[in-house]
Amino acid sequence: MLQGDFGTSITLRRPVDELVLSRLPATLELSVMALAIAVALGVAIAVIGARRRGTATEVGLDLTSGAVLSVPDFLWGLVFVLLFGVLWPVLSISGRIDPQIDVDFTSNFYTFEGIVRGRFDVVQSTLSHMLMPALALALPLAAMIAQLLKQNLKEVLLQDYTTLARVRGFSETSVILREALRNALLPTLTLVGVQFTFLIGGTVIVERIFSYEGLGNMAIDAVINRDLPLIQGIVLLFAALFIVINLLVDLSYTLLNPRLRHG
Amino acid sequence: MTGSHTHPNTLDVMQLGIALPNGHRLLRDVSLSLRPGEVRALVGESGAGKSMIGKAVLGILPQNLRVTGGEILLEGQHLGAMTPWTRRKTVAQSAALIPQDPLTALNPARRIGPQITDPLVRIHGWSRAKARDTALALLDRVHIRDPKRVMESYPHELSGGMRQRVLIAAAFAPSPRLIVADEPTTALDVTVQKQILRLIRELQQETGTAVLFVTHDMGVVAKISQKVTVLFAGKVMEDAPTERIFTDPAHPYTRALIAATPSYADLDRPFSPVPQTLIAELQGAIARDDARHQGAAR
Repeated sequence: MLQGDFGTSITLRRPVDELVLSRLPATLELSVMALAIAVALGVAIAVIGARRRGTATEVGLDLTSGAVLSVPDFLWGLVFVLLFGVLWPVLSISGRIDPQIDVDFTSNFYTFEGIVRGRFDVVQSTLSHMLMPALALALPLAAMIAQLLKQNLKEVLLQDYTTLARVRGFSETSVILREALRNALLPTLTLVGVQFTFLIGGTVIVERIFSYEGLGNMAIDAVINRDLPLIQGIVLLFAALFIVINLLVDLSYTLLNPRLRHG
Repeated sequence: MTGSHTHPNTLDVMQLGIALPNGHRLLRDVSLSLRPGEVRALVGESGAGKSMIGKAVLGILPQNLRVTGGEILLEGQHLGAMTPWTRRKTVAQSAALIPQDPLTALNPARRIGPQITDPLVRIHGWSRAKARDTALALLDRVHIRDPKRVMESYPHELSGGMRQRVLIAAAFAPSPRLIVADEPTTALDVTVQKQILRLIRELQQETGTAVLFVTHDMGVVAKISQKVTVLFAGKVMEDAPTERIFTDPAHPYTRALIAATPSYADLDRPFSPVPQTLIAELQGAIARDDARHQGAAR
């Protein structure tokens, strides 16, 4: 294994590395989309909450994010299947892409390659398949980001430099966006880094719910079939992912905090 | 510009009262005024409410405080009658703040340059080039070496004195009619204090800006101001020209305050704080006054 030979899958009779790498793009695309949704939602809610601090709006947002946070991702997945797959079937609830679409891509990054090649039928299909699982993964993280970031924003908004910005004529909204947000984002970034790795862990179950052909789904099959070489390969890949993500997060601190530059 | 014959005062604070939500009064009917180009010192011990007057003028009082009465006029315009939006614009157009602590008054995540030029461009509508030229000229004026490099620096790369210079430049940049200087030398060490004080005075004289100078240091008062308002427990004790405050103080509290100022010339002179009996007497008078005030309100 140290020489890069991960063996052969017992059930699928193909090399483990080949199997695992063919599924990795699907999981990565799903996680990145979930992360993007979580950050967008979380930051927006935090900014609104900080802007309306001390009002009923803030309390309402706090209660909502608390409630959203207390429901785990796989339960959100089941709720979405029920809502948008059964009661009001507008989204696809199974798979990664419409099987009738002919995909002859060189990589398995369907969405990314679809954008690059201008195959927007592919992009549209993958996005509509990913939306529900991504949202299920994103909601608890979004609620967590909203709560932490709003708290940090409120602290930063008591700092002298935000007061000075108000004296200079900036509105509360632009004080939040221009002066406070960057300073308040640092602790949130740490949280996002840690939680993103949990989110990738969450893909295992959520992918199963939506029959999404990613690494997580493959991991469950491998465990059920006691396919040890395959399990080993998948776990190793997940571990590598965690390390890379944490490294990226640490490096990104310097973007937000100039005091960390120059070493 | 206003079309009136008499020039309005730069600032009129009339009968201003501020209280905590539980009714505890922090400012009691404070009145003061500043003519254009005048420097008025606002002195008093900690908690006398001197900073609060400046904050009330600039509209940055803590949210839990409420204004119980009075009126603030900035260049003859009633601030209290304005919508928050108009008030913010009016204050930004004609007033600026030199804050107390230069270490926390600059955004640590942003470069110095934009922190000076942003308000000029986005609030005052200047061109980027004009804002940059003005900022560079002012940084040079406040004796900052290599202004171009400082504009590109982050606050943590500058010393406390340099940051206060930057903040002074930023305050004077939009040519305000009024500057509130909220104990601008308190957080600095003594050698820097003198330079900063001289700088504020020079710029004030060059530009003719009126300055409301909040301080607890009678030595600073003598150096910078033409008028003095002495505050105790949110109440004006004395309002007089600076010269008279030192030569012929009318109020016993003012006398005690001047006597309490340590002298570098005469180090053998014993330290004489404001007598406790006087403080108790004044507090008693204010308490009686408050009680009468509450009785009248009922």
